[in-house]
Amino acid sequence: MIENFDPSLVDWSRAQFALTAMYHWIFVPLTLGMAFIIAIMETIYVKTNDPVWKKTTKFWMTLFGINFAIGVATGIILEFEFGTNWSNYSWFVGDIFGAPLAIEGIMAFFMESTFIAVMFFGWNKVSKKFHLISTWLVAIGSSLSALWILVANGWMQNPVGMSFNPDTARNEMNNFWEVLFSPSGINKFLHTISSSYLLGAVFVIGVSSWYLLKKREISFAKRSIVVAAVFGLFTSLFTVLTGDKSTKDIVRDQPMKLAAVEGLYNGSNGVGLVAVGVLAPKDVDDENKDDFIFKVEIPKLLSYLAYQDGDAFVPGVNDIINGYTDYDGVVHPPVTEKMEMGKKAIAALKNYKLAKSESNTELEEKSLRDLETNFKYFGYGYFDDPYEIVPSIPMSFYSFHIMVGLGMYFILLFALSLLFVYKENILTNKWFLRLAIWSIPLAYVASECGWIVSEMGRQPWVIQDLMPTMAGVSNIDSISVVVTFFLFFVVFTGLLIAEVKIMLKQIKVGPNHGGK
Amino acid sequence: MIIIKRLGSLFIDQYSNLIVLVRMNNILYKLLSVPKSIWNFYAQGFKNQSKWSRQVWLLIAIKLFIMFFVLKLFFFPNFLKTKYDNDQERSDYVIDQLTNPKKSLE
Repeated sequence: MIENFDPSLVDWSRAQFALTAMYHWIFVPLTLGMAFIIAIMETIYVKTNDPVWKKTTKFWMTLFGINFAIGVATGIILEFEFGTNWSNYSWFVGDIFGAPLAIEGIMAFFMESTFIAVMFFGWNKVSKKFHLISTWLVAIGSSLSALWILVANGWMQNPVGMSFNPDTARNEMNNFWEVLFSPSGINKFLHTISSSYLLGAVFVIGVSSWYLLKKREISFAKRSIVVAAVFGLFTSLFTVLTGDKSTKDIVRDQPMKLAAVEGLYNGSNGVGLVAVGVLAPKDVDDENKDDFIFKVEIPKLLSYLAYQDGDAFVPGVNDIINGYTDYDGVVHPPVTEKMEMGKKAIAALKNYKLAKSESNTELEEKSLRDLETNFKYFGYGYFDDPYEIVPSIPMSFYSFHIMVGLGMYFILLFALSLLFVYKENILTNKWFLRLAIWSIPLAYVASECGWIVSEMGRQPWVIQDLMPTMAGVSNIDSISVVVTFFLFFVVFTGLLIAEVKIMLKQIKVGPNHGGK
Repeated sequence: MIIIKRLGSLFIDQYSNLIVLVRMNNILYKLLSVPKSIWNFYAQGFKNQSKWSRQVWLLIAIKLFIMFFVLKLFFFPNFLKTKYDNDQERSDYVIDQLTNPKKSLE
């Protein structure tokens, strides 16, 4: 059935959404991360009354302000796209997506925008304590904004707390708390914000290192590095912890994603974790070729991370296709069986609608029963070949390994920053200062790779098991999507260039000019 | 004596009423001055902005104009809202799309 959808329309709609989401994500993590670093710096200022800390806070607040202003509202474009390009999807998700996004708009965004004015205009006009509280509220508010968006995203990865209404074709929320506290949503939120804090810390260390390399603003730069490195070290360790929690969610809810990110074609007991590897080009079901050209593996670690048992069975792509019994003894049917159930669910929905229009109560009741029984595999009904449910393995594998590898590197970067400042030889270690500057783009690469893992790894689903991406698109002309793709590309690139230029100018001006 | 006492108590009553009135007046004055001080806070803040801040506001204005007056109006109409008049028609259409995916090519 997949060939019944216009592949060009689906691909361009996906490309456009990916482009806007990735550009939006250039601005967001820096806002989330820097907000807390600034709040910590201002807390030190209020405690010590040291004017250098005030100057430090104000300087980073300037860079935060530039990033916040350029990035603000870029996410709204994603909502435009929901209505235009993804109308089937938007209708199908019903109020589940609407409620968290509305709360985000009303509560978190207004909290953020109200107190950001106090943050920038309130120096010497409100009391020190009120100013400090406002800065903290901006930091908390920006993270709360992320909470609601990620709750909605978490629901797409693991749809819970809802029931499908066949009369309206909409999913209706019947348990707000189940949606809000869904483990996949919460862990996604914690992992995303902690990795954003990490990015903020790398940014501050990188910019401060530039000053040290130029032998400018030495006291300011060293203080900034200490705050960012301590904050970064804690948050990076927390990122590892939340990443581990997310892995456990993926094992339970999206085993195909886990198999893809690890390049695990065939499962077994006691599976090792691939630390570094190069995938062999091959078809998923080709048993005659090796999976990897080269790999370095940590024995039994994947089984242990997934189930806390080094000998546990971890299913590979082919096991998921052919059906398997998981570690807890739950039997997962083969994909062909799920496809049959999905087709029954789609037919039942069609018959239900027909029965309603003809007032055929008997057919109506039967169709409802069939729909209820088979609904959990509704989305599988759109596929004809079981291998259509396999995501891009190279894309998932490399994005995941780049993200994890860089995450480990950042822990080392934070530790070395603290060590060199403590030993008072950071100025002489110029290689380290250069490395820290070049780590800024690497932090963005890691952050974007995280989203690629999350969103590419769950393909072909837009809502796990219920709606494939191809079924979510609007029946519009693909040319209009191509035009707006390039329009966005130009607008967002322009915004990014403007941000980088204004920011570089302010960095060159430095903290001694009060951010003017 | 009684008259003096009555006059005295009348004076005290009037005096306490006056104090209440003055206090109420002060509270009202403070309440009324809140919007004014908020207005002044923002007005002074915008007036004393730095150069980078003005540049950024200009960018925000251009960005919001492009987003809401160009993209939203001309390129991003809400597909279901513009094509159908009510929710019943919209849900019928989506059910048709989901159960007859071949139509998406037509």
